[in-house]
Amino acid sequence: MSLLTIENLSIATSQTTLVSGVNLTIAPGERVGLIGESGSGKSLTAMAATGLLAPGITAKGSVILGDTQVIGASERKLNTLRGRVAAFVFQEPLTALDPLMRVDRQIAEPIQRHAPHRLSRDAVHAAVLKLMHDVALPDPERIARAYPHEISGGQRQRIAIAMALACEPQLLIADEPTTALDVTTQAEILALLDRLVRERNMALLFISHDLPVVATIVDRVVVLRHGEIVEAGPIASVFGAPQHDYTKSLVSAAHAFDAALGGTP
Amino acid sequence: MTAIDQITTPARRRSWQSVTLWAGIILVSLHVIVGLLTLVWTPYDPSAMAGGRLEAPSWLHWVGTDRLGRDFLTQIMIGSRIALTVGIGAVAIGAAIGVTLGLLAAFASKFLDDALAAALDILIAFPTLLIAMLVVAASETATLGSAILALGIALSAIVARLTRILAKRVLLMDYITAARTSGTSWLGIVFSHVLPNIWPTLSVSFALQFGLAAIAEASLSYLGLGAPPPNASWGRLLQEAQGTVYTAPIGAIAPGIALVSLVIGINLLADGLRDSIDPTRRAR
Repeated sequence: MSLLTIENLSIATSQTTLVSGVNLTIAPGERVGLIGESGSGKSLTAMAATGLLAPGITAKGSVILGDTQVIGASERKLNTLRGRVAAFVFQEPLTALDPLMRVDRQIAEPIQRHAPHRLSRDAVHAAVLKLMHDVALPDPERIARAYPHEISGGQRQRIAIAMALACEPQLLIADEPTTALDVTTQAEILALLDRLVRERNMALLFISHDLPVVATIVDRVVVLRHGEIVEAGPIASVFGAPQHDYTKSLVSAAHAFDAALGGTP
Repeated sequence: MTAIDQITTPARRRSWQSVTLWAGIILVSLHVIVGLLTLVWTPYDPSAMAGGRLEAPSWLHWVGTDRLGRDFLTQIMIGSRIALTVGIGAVAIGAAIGVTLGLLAAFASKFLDDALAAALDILIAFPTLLIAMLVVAASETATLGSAILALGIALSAIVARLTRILAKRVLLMDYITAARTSGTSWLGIVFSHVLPNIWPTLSVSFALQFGLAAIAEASLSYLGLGAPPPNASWGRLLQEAQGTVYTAPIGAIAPGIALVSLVIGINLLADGLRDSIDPTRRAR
């Protein structure tokens, strides 16, 4: 049984159609990349998967997350799914953290909410430190007491990942998680996500416009353009023998970039 | 040169912040102490004719006496208490109504939000004092309570609009979506993320409105719509001193200084507090 099944999903405002006819399934433990340029509907599709569309934007079709139909479900029902079944990591780590809340409280929030019974302060603190350790944050005791503006971008993104992991989701949705980071940090975060997904046996939906980044972490890609899927398949076949013109141009652009670097990393 | 600037600027900024904060604390606490003191002690009985009419300041009467021979300092001290009561009461009412309405508008559907926003804009278009006068006029007799209620309602529109705008901005942030993706309820989001993030701005606005309420109360009393006579409001003192302003100017100057010092003190306190509440602005 698959974890996320999207069938014939269309997303529209009152004026325009943003996404149409999207089909996507993710099995437990599977890693899928969602690729496309800005405005192609990647993030909207991911938001629709957890029922997080902004007011005024409506989704039609079928989205089954876990065993619940997301479209038309009540907020209360969705709240039990969110975090536990699927969790998000966002693009911009600075806005993904509450600027006025210390880091340890932000990580503690999802832990406390999803705990079956009330946790003691020490238990919460231990759980927070364990998560911070899992995402390889240096000096967790000090960072736990810091505000988001006091730590680096890479550290903030690790905190955001720790928050997403707090409820032990079966599916991690990463929306351009490395785009706002410099190249070195980007590689570190990718390696971290790769390790965490493997260790925790999570499924991953990785959203990006950056082909080389996606290629290193997912098994299967779905290419989106103007709100429609133009190509989908295993990473090797899509990148090795792209069928659609748009995918071809993306792949050749990535090759041209590699060539410009002279083949050296 | 630049290196020295970089080293000294934060320290200078911090010391300037603490100067404004402390000046504000001193001015406001002076009024608070005087106001509380009048509950148990005043130099003279406020309604007793303690001296001659319109006496100049002397050791017996530091700020002189009014046209009925009552001690003027006593009345100004009681005025502090009334100004503070009205300020606190009006801001509390304005905050309770305004923050609730503002948050409702921020979370509401587009139609309800538009309706609330339009209603607030219309309310704000009327001067605070005019709305307060209408509310006082609608109640049967002018009392201290009706003045507080009137000013609270008048201020709530300003608070509501500010809250709505601030909350809408916070609701667009990824950390709200992150909280929602981890299953936080809307009420939980309001208390753990929205209110703390709009609080620094709101608290400064509350302080400014405290000053506004103090001035508005003086205006209401000046017009005879404030607290009735046994309450020695600064506005009423100013109004009574109007007829004798050329022969005994101290009667107008003293309540004026009292009012200005309270409002300036509150504003300085607000600025200082904002810098110390908001950790991203805190000098390190």
